[in-house]
Amino acid sequence: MPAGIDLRPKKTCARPARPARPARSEISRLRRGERGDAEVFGMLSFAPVMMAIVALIAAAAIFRAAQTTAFAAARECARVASAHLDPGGGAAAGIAAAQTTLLGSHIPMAQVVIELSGHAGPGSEVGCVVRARLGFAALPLTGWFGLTDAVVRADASAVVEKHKSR
Amino acid sequence: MRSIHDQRRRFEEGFATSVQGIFYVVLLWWCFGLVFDLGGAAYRSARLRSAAVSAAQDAAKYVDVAEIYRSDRLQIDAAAARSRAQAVFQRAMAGIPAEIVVSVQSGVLRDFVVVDARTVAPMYILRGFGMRDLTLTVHFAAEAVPGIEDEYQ
Repeated sequence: MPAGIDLRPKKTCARPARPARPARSEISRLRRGERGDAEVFGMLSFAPVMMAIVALIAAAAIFRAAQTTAFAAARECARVASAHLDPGGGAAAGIAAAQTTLLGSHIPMAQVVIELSGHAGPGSEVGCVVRARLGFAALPLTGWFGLTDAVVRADASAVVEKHKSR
Repeated sequence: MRSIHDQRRRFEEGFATSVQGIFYVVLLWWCFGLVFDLGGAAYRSARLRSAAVSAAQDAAKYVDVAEIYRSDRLQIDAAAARSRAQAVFQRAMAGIPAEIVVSVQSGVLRDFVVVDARTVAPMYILRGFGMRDLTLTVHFAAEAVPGIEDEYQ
């Protein structure tokens, strides 16, 4: 150590008094609390998006199930109608078969329209179209996002046996 | 140094919250894709199967009557059966692009109409997750059967 250097702490002039600050631990605690609020807010901001997607999932599940059911009904309608030689009786039986198929699915469909055309005896092609309005009223979330209903349409055809005699 | 660590940790915590939220949204969107796209594929599959069955059964009715008298063998008129199967299939799959291959195969006593149908179900949502489309195939065989086998048939 070179001579003449004094390493002892020197007495300095007193600093002007600062305003009182909260302790460091207090600041950290406050910050942590505020950070928690931000996280909750961050997750909450995602909530409507998630709810909208959940609503879409519910609507899509019902729509696809209804679409398959409507097609099954149309196919059954055409098949049963084509098994009858008499166009009038075939149409009635076909429509009844389609209605039975729709009832069996337990999917709430309204304004069901079943149209049967083309039955003109042996060799003719019978076409059946099933149209229905699918309501999403049972799902509360879908209503909030403007999804109230959808139209389902399906068609199928079958040929009356060419050499059918009875 | 300590303040830099604190600051970084704060930023990372905020980032973690966003990543978590985005992850859930993406996960739900994927679930929606599963329901919507695979539901559509199931509907298309049902249509394809129905069309193939109708086509094969209708085509199997085109029996070559002259051949029965000639050799007592149930033979299908291959050309007529093919064109009939094509027509029935195209009509049943109206609006949905699909392919059909019809072949008439000879059995010991009777012929078979074999239908191989194929369609592609597009994935609208799952495309974003790397699944562009789903190929659906159906294989169906129909046998030519003489008109009456049982009483009152």
